[in-house]
Order: sequence, then structure tokens, then C-alpha cells
Amino acid sequence: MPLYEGIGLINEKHPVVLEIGQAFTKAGFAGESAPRCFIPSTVPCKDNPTQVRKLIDYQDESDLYQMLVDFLNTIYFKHLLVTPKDRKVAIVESLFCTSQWRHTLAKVLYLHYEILTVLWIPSHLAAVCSTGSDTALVVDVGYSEALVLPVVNGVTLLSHVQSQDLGSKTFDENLKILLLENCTNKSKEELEPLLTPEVIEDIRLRACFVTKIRRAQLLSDPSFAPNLDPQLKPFKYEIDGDNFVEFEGILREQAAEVWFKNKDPEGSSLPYMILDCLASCPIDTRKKLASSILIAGGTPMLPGFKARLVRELKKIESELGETKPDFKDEKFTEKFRNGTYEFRIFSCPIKENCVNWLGGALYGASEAVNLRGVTKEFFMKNEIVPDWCNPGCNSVTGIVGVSNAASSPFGSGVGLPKGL
Amino acid sequence: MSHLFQLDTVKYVCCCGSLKPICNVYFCRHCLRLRCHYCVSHEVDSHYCGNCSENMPSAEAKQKRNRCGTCYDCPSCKQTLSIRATTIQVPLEDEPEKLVAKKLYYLACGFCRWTSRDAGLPDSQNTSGPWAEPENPLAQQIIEISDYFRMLAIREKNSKDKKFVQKSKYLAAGRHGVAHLLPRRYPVSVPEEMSKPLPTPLYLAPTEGMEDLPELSDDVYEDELIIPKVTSLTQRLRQLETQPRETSKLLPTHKQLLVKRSLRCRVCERNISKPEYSPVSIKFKIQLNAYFHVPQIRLMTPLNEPLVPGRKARIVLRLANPTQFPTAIRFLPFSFVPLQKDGSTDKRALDAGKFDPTRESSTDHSLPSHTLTPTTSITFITPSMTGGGTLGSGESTQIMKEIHVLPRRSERFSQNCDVIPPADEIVLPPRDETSDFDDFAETPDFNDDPKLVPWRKANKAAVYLDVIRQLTDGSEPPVLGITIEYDYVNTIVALESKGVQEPQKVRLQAHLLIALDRIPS
Repeated sequence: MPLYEGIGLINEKHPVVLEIGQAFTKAGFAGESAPRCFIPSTVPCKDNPTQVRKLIDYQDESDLYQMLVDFLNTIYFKHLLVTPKDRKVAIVESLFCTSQWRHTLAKVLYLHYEILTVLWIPSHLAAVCSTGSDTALVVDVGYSEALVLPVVNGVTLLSHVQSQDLGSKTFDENLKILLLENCTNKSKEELEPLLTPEVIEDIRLRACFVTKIRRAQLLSDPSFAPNLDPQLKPFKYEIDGDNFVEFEGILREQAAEVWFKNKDPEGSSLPYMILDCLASCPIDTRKKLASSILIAGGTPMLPGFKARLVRELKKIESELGETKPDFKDEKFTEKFRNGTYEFRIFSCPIKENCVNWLGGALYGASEAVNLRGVTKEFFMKNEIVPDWCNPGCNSVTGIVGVSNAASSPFGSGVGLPKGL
Repeated sequence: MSHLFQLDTVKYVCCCGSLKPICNVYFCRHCLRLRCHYCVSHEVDSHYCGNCSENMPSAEAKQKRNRCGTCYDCPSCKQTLSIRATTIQVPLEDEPEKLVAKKLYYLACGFCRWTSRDAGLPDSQNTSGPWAEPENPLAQQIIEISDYFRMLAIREKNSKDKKFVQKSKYLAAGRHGVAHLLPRRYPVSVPEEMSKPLPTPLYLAPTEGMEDLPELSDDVYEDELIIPKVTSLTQRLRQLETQPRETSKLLPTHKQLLVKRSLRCRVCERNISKPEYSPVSIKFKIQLNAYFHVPQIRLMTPLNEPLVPGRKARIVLRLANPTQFPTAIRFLPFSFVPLQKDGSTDKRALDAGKFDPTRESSTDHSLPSHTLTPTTSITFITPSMTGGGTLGSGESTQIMKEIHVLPRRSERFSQNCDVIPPADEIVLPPRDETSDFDDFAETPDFNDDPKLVPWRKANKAAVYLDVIRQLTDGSEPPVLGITIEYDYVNTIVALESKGVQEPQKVRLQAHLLIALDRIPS
């Protein structure tokens, strides 16, 4: 009974911490060490309740609004079991989520659920703070893209961001091609309709791993591939009761090579993204950043990922020092020639897929919610949630169009921390 | 339920603009308006376990992280685990050569055959365990980081109180640098303040280099992969603390509690639905469902052939009066007006006109047919135009409040048939529960016109209605829009004024959309 809440010490109401990702949503309470729920960001389909719709597949703003209302209803009443109005909320969001998404989410929270204060935290900053440190090179591999973003002394160097479509979506597309090619007991035509996104995701999670760098070199050349020793054994996968599919073992190590296509002229390889990012960072931050790489996101939790990434980085760096690589420009080589970088990866107190959420929970547990949170009145009055990409929020004179807002001594520097 | 109330056929239009069958609509007796799931505010009322039906006070539920103390879920398939007993022979303490039977307990899943022995948990001497639970080995470190951040935040707060800002590392940085937007003096801090060293973090996550991250062992390459031995995503996500890869490391988890919700009208802030506290009771303390208060309408005979635009057809509706008082029902042309803010006085972008959440919502039933534009014209609401009936002077303030408080949702619908309203009202006697079981009860005589009312029994009556199809595109299924006006006796007024006042009789309106081509089941 809500009446009895609030007696003694237990009346502290911890804020709700929400991270609505493109594929998965994490929700829980501030001050806890793990989210209460980790669920797909989907809502049941209206026409067919057995089907689900992804939140990111929204058609327009009103459609998104409806889906978010339903989705948050499920989170609050099936998973968190608290009355939405009672709690402050900390939202962990991507720096690059669309303004439409952000604004709609704000409307759902402030207007439909009548939440009084919401703290908006960029996910990369949140990720860094979950390590206890304040400097890290965040490598966030999400659903649709992989981002590399440096954070130095708590300041996000936004202009040095690197992004490529190397998320789990690309991984799964690549894996699907491999699965179709390497099936031993079914034809492509038979197999194709069975490989739903869920099945592919499950195979990725259960079968795939990131192989050793030495084997990867052999793998990249099809003529060497049969000489690998030892060869991976084929494995069986049960799609449903009628379909037992057998696949060649080689795809288990081949699939993750999508992250390490170093010869790709577009530079779509995780190690190159990291080096590109480092090369563009100020010189005195490079060493520190190289030795504090932080992996965030659930996709890179495959076995062997961290070990491989460190070795790839070291290898490329040492190659740059000796010979000129064939496609990178000279400047890039120059930057890495002299420095002997030590690449180190954070080992977080929580699994990689909850790193961002944990940061939000740390913020939510502190005074930051009251200090930095955007209140409902503010939103009702100004119709905006301050954002780095909105010039109106970052002008020297405060918010454009807001009559009595205090002038900002920080100017654009706070929102866009480049050069600070 | 679904066939009784014709979920897809007859829809009531809620104040907020949602279309719902009558069993999903509520009726606020204080506002005398329809309310629905979407436009009331939900509250968590009580926690209980769905398996053992044990009630748990909120404070305790909070402490136990919303989990039942006694019931466990199977980590493999999420079914409820049952406790199994087994006996073993153990030697007696004083006479080691003598064996006695001793009972031991373990958890087993009746569905997937998982047992706590699979997880390597030893059998317990008690039925209640204790069973090992997933725990983050680094939880203590997280608390240390959390303490550090609290400290930073407090410093920032203090520096602000002193009208100096500590340019704190995290909190001043990043995208949410919104402090400068707050209407507060916010000068840059003085040098002494800035030069104060920040406290060192209590815990720093270690970093791993090449030497700490060994390459995959050869076992990975040599061993055969057995998929059922590797956990699936859902299994891992149920144990967020550890997220094990091997199924042998899955541990049983306490069952998540469920909640009973109470609903509250957003306008008058009174309860609309409040369940009883006991988890086993399905009764309510307060239950203001519309089917206790609003006349029920069902389609008895649908169209027997497609309705061509411009043509007339006859349908039969069945009316029922659920209240304790007689009512007179009059049919009117469809006149629902969505709540709308007056655009000239309010320039906020949150206006309904700019974001009217439409019927694309996933949970809502809406009529099978829909066009992109609503055929009802949207006009700005004025007190005289609303369908709320005659409540006197309080009416306009109530509507003003509704406009501000209710979440709006204009579900799109097409209404392409009009009713030719009969001149007479249909009087329905009050509901009498005994008559439902009395087949030979006398049918009350109201001197009905047999051309209008072909059938009547107790508080129910059938009505002939002529409908005419609008001259629009004839390819869509026909949907009749209709407004009914009925008498409602407000007993709340009498209750609140301690019996001095007579129950107030008001005329209310309800707006309905009826899909005519559906075969009533």
C-alpha cells in the first residue's frame, strides 16, 4: 500500500534510469548495480498481438508517441512496478539520436506520465563515468552503428567522433550470408525463410567468436582457409522441432571479421576507426586515450574480442612505423611513427551491455538529478529539452526566444566541448 | 466477453478521442464523462506474487527488489520451479555404523527438467533454501564509484550555493550542460575555487593490455560446439549481474512480483478503479466501468448486403439500461467533437493540432476501416457544443480543465453512414437482476411504435434504425456514427450532500461508431 511507503529510512525514492536503445532497453533504479530489466525495444503489434514492432520503425511522430506510451507503460507496470509520477527519471541517450525522437520522448515523459524532473545524460559520458575514471576512448558498438568518441577529463571531444555502420545489424547481415553459404544439410532456398533475425542473433551469440589474429590473416585469403589448423568442427543448430541445420564451423570465426576489414578502402574497420580518432585528437591526450579504451554495447561481448582488438591496434601501429601502408595518407602515418602507444582496454565493474546504463544509475543516485535535471515547468514553458545540436540552447544569451532565462556565461562551450 | 460486447463492432468514443469497446471504457461519476485506459492516470496499488498469491507490502517489495521471497523461476525456461524432496542415508552422529534416512530438497522445473543440481547447487536441508543467486562480484566497487559521484555532485551543489561554480569534471561537461539555462546567477568560480584539487576516485576500473588479455585458448578451436550448452540471449538477460555463457552456470532467480493497479481520473483526481487489497480477490473497492452506467448498444442485425453510397438500409440495434433508474434514449446524428485547444490563446507546440497521436498505436483496437482524414469536422470546443449534457455553470470550467489535463488521442476513423434519427425516445426500465432469470416475466408495456421497437424484454429493447450511406467512396466498409442521449441519475450528488438533495437527473451523450458489416457473434 502506497500509504505505508515513506516511513523511516526507506522513503528515499530512487530515480528511474532508462536507456532506450535501438535494439534493447535497459531500465532500473539509480543506486543499484544492475538494471532491473533488459528487454527488446519493441511493442506488440496492434493488428496482430503475436507480432512485435520495433520502436525505431516508427512512421511519424504521433506513431512514435503512441509506441512510447505503450512501451513505458509496460516498463513501469510489468518490470519496475512503481507509479511513474512519483519518481524522477534519468534518461541515458545517444548523442546522435534524432531531435524528433528526443522531443517525442520528452513529451511522453513530461505530459503523459507527468514526471517532474528528467535528467538527460549522453550515453558516452555515462559509460566513462562507470569506470570511475574521467578519460576514456569510448567504443560503442550498438545496433546500427559503431561509434568511437573520446572523452577527456570529462569533456566530450565531439568533433573527433568516428562512426561506421559496424553495429550488430551489419554483423547479422554478414552472418546471414555466411550461414547460407556454409550450410551442409539444407539448400539456400530452404534455409533462407528459416533465418529470421532472431535466429541469426541467437547464432551470433551462441556460436560466433573473434578469432586469433594469426588465423584471421589466413582466413582473409580463401586459398589459405583450408589449411587452417585445427579446423573448426561443424555444429548443429535447432531452429524449430522440424529443422535441425548443420553449419560448417569456419563461419564461427569468419563472421566477426566484419569488424577487422583493415584493407577496406572506406576504413570501415574498428581498429582503424580507433586510430583515426586518436590521430585527430590533440597530441597530449593521445597516449592517455590509447591506454583507456572503453568498450560499450552488447555486440562486442563475443569471446576473444578485446584480445583481438588490442593486438590489431598494436599490429597496425607497428606497421605504420615501419612501412607506409598502401591507402592511408602520410599524415596519419606520421602521427603514429614516433609514439609507441600502449593500447589498454578498461575492465568495467559491469558487463559491457550495461555500461551506459550503470553510468546513468550513478548520475541518478547523486544530486545531479536535481542540479541538472530538466523540470516539467521548464519543458512546458520552453517546449524544448536543451540539446547540444540546437543552436537556440547554446547561444551566449541563453535560450533564444525565452524571455527571462538567465544569460549563460558558458556560451556554446558547454554544449559543444570542442577545444575546451 | 469479446462476443458479448462485440469488441470490434461497437466502439464508444472516449473523451480523449480513443475508440474502445464498452468493456474498456470507464465512467467517471464525478465528471460524468467517459474515461479510458489511455486518459486516466495509473498507480501501483499493491504488490503480490502471481504464483503463491502472497501479498507483499510496498516497503518490503522495494527492499526485496520486487521479487517474491519464496517462489523461484527456472533460469532456463522461466517457468516456476517446484521443490522436490529426496532422501539419503546418513550415518548417525553418535553411532556411525547406523544409517538413518534424511530428507533433502532441491529445485526442479517441471517443464524443461532443469534442476538446481544442474547448476551445481548442493541440496538443501530446508525447503526454503538458501539457494545461491546471481551476484555481481564487483558490486562493492560500483558502490564506491557511486559514493565518489555523490561527493562530486555535493561539491558542485555547495559551490553553487556559494554562488561560485566548481567546474566539476563530469557534471559541468557534456551535452546536458543545462545549468546555465536555469534562472539563477551562475558566475564563473574564483581561482581558489577552481584550483582546489578534486578528490581522487575511490575506485578506478583497471585497464587491460595485451599481456592481460590472452588470446582464445585452443579448446575453443578443438572442441565441438554444442549449442544447447551455451545460454541464449533471454537466459543471459535474466541474470544481468553475471550473464553466464554456459548453461551450467545458470542460477535460479526469485520470481518477479505483479501489481494491482488503481486508476485515477486526471480531471477530478478521484479513483475510477481501485482493486481490493487481497491478491486472491478479484473484486474492486471502486469500479466505475462504463457498462454499469452507460446504455449498452449492440448490433443485432447487420447489413445483409453491401450498402451503396447514397442508399438507405435498415439495421436493428439492441439497447440495454444497466442502471438502477429508468432512462430515455434518443438517437442523434454523430456529433463528437475532439478536445482541442484554442490555437489563438495558446501558442505552445504541444498543442493537439501538432501532435495528435493517431490510431497507429499498437495496442488499440480501432475500427477495421479507416481513412487518413477524419470525416468529422474539427471545430474548437465551446461549452455549449460538447456532448457532456447539461451540468450548468460547472461545465465550462470542467471542459477547460479537461483540455489541459487529459492526454489527447485523436484516433482516426472513418464514419461514412448517418442515421436517420427517429423522432421518439425509447424508454428503458431500470435493470432488475431477477428478471434475467425469469423467462416468463411480464414485458413492460410502453406503448411502443412497433415500427420502431420490435422487441422488448425487461431493461432491454431492440430498435429499428434507418441508416444512409454518405456520398463518398464506397469501397470502405460501412461505419455508422451515432450519438445517443440518455438520462443519467447522479447519485453521487445525493451522497455528498448528506441526503438533503435529491439525486440529480442529467441528460448525457455518448458517441458511438458501429461497423455495420460485421456479423454479430
